[in-house]
Amino acid sequence: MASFEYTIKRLMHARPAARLVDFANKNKEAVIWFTKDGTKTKCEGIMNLMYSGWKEGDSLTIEIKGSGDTQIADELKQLLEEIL
Amino acid sequence: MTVLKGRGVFGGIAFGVLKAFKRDYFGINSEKIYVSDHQNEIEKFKYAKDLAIKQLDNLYNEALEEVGEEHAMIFQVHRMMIEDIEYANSIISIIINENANAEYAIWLTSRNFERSFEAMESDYMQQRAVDVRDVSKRIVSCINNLSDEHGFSGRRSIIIGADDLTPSEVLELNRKVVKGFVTMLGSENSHTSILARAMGIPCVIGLGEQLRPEFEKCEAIIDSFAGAVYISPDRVTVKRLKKKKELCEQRAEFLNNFKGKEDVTLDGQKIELCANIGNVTDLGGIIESDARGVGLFRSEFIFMGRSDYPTEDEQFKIYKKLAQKLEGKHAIIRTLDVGADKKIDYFNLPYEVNPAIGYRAIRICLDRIAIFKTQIRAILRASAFGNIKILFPMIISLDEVLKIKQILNEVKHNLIQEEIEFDKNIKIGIMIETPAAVMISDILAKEVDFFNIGTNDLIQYTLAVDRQNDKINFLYNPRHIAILRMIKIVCDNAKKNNVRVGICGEIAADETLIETFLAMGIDELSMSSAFILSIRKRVREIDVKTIKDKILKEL
Repeated sequence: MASFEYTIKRLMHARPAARLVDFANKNKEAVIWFTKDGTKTKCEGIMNLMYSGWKEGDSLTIEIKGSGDTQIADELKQLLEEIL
Repeated sequence: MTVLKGRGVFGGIAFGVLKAFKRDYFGINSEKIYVSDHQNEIEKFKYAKDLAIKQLDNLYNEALEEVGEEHAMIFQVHRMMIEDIEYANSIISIIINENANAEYAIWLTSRNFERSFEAMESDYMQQRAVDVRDVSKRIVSCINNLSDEHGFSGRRSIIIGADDLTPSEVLELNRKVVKGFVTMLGSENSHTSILARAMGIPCVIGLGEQLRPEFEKCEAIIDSFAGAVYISPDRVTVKRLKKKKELCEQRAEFLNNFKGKEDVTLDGQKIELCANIGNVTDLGGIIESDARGVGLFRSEFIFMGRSDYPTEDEQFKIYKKLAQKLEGKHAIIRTLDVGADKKIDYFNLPYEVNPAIGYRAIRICLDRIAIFKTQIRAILRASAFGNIKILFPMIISLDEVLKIKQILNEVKHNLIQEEIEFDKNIKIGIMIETPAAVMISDILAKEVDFFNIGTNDLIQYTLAVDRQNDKINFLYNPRHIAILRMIKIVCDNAKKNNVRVGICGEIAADETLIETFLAMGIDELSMSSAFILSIRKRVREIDVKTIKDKILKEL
């Protein structure tokens, strides 16, 4: 399992949610979880991600389980920097 | 035949079937029917789901070509909503647990998801409820085997009827099938109308109660020269308007002779006729009309019709394309002019009683500096690829101009440090669209390379006439002596300081004022590209020296 912390820079919107779903679909061999204040959200469906209500300053713990988890974590980190 | 009278916005004639613009219409039958065969209902849902996904993929691809990735994105979001596992599970479990029909299960699921969105804090997210409803409606339409009414598909020509349309709604009309639009409300000077002119869409506005729901699906003709709409036209009218349309096209063909000709008067005075655009796809019109350049690129349209701020790279790509496609012709990019009648959800702008004189344009940019800097960086980076100038809107003081220049210099400095190329001598200009800017144009002229007189706002502020207010439309007079005197003042101050001066309001294309502008010595007129060739024809017929003194004496 790989995990890292990320502080959100922008309000969660449809576009980043779509990019995350897209990312999860491309990395089906692993499961990605976001945890914010004890609430876990699976990186899977767009609806959950959209109404996660994440906004600037929120800090997330991201956990990735499955094969290639460290590489997926690196890629996800990059994606998050770009979109959220 | 019924004839409706309104006001024409863009000179043109369009034929089509009248259809009401549907904005917030559910159209799902929420009636619950008891069904014992769960499997059949689930199959029905799955079949419709697959069909809806195919439709959305097609829409995405078509939209990608027509309006670009940022606008097309919404169809991908819709697809992901349909594929969302919780959404599908909810529908299936309602079918099984409540012995319900698929349509009802979709309706109930949609309502639950919509409520979750509506309960959210952000206005933006609250409005995503509409997307859920849209998606749900699409699946039910597939079950009912109904055709896709909103969509890009469909072959018949359509004329859209609406109470009013917002600028982004106009931008998103599918031009392949939508030939024109008619509205109950609206004003010639609103951004909706400006956009319609820029896109060359014939439309008639201000029809009021004459436009009735029973006209839905009737044949209709728009004659926006006459401000008339013919519902179920008789054969004589159809024939007459077909003829008129032909003449219109012939005139356009005649005007084609003026392509490649110089913008010069009989006595050799030059003026540059440029185009106002809001989108890189409008560049086709520039080539078509042989404009000398882009006199006004309304960058706010990059920010509209999407759900989040465009990134620096996204903006850079658009500006770069603009610079490259113009092949050396200049492009004046105006920085973000939102607020007033151009609202964008994710900016979360507070409600204002008086938005035209409120928190807008440069006032937002100087307050939310990150947005401003991102845009300036993108513009500067693109300036390495062509002839780009940068224009700042809504200026009222020297202080603002100095602040802007300071920010611009900071961004330039950073780019130099990062060794990123840009045009170090990029020309900067300001919009002269407030009476304050007119009165201090001698001071402002010392700080900038060019002025663009934005007459739409200048008229509204000088005459104290709200350009959106239908009741006082007759007071909105571009030929008011006060306006012409202001343009003259700006022009004189510009000349004294060796500053270029252009006009980019709608009056730039007013044939009756061309002589006046030439007499004043305006350097550039920027207008919807559809007008350029006819204005060029007019310019080439004028002998300025014989009329100049008389015109200037009257001011």
